Formats: sequence, structure tokens, C-alpha cells
Amino acid sequence: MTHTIHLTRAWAILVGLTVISVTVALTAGPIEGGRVAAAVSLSLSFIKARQVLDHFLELRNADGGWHAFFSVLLLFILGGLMLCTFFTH
Amino acid sequence: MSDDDTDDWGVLSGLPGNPLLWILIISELLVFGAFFLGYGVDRALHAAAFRAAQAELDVRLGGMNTIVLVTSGWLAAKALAARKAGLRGQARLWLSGAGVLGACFLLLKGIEYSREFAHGHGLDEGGFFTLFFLMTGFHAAHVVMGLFLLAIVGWKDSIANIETGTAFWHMVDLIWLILFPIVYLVR
Repeated sequence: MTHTIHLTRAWAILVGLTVISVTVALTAGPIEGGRVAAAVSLSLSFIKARQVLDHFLELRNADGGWHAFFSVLLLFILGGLMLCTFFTH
Repeated sequence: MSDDDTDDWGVLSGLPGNPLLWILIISELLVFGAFFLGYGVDRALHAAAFRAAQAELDVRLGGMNTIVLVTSGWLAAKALAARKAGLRGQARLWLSGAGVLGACFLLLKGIEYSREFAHGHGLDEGGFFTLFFLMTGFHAAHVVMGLFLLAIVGWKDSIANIETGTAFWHMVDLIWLILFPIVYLVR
């Protein structure tokens, strides 16, 4: 029962963050070249990815080292993408 | 060699489910990650052309597809929880729901592709749209594979099978959650 609640909460967070990011992109107009906007968008992506890993893939039950490993892997990809925006003209 | 030896996956034993699936998940994250970083570098070098091309994408459609896919992942996770509780019928129902939403994802992707083709964009165009079709197409191929897996584990519905099939499905979900913002939102 508790597990089902965790799953539903994770799903609600995923849907909520998606709705927020799409609404901001649509209502705030073009956020072209905005590094802050890119940072927010990529940070939300990290939070969503962690929800899938921790709850859908049940990584929250794994050893702490695996939590850190996947966080580092995600940060490497998303951080690299963020770094690219600093070199965007 | 005893069974104890063959079941020992070392550090991978600390992960839930089949260790081989986790090797696949890590490998796919690395492959897609390299792809995404390549996209990021190309975008940094040709920012104006990428922005103009990205402006032609339908953010609403991309967002809708994200909600469809995460909801499908949620149903797949509920299927595994139901199967572990011994509720085989309910597990198959959730798996069917996950599969239907996976098919909806592909349908929406097909609509999006047909719009872009109608606007004269294609894989051989170079620049943003070549990467767009390659990244989303490669991901869509994984969705197709995932649908086959969901069907198989719905039929052969042991806990281990459903755990393996749904783990693959969540990996597909995970990759989309990185792909969606960098293609549709970060301009």
C-alpha cells in the first residue's frame, strides 16, 4: 500500500513538473539563449529522472553507492549540456 | 561451479531486479548521453540555425507525449506491485494500460513527424532536424521494443519477467525525460 502511494506521488511529481515546464515555455514566450531558463529546465529533468530511478525502478532500495553513481551519471550528462549553453552565441 | 557462484554479481547484487538489465540501463544512458552531448556541442556551434528550427516544433505535443510516457511508466510500476501482491489479473490490466499509452506515444510521434515532413524537413537535411529525427527515432525504436517486451511479460507473467520488462520500459521513460527538455525547451 505504501509502495503504491510512493508510485502515485512520483507520477504526480512527474506530471506536475512537466506541466510547469511546458506552461513556462509557452507563456513566457521564447526563452532563447536564457541560461537561467536552461538551468531550470535541466534541473527539473534531473528531479524527474531521479523520481523514475528511485520509485519506478526501485533504486531507493539499493545501496547508497548506486544512488551516488546514478546522480553523478545524470549530472555528467545534464551538466555537460548546461556547459554547452555557456558557449552558445 | 556451484549455483552460489553463478548468482554472485558482486557490486551489482546491490541493485533491485536483474543485474543484466541494470548493465543495459547504464549502457543506454552512456550511449544516449554521448548523443545528447554531441547535440549540445553542435547546437552551441550553430545556435541561430538551431533556434530557428526548434521554434518550428510543437512544445504542446512534446509535453503531451511526456505525460503519456510517464503515465505509462506509472502503470507499468503498478503492474509489478500488483504481481508481487499476487494479483495477476490486475497486473495484466496495468501492463495493458502501459502498452496502450506506449502506442499512443508512437501515434503522437507519427503525427509530429508527418507535420515536419509536410514542412519539408527530413533526415537528410543536416543540422537540427537530422539530429532531431535521429535522437527521437532511436528513442522511438526503443519504445517499439519495449511494447514487445510488455506484451511478452504480460503473457509469461512471472515476477522476474515483469520486473525485467518494466525495467526496460522505465529506461525508455528515463531517456525521454532528458531528451524532451534539450530538444523542445532549451533554446
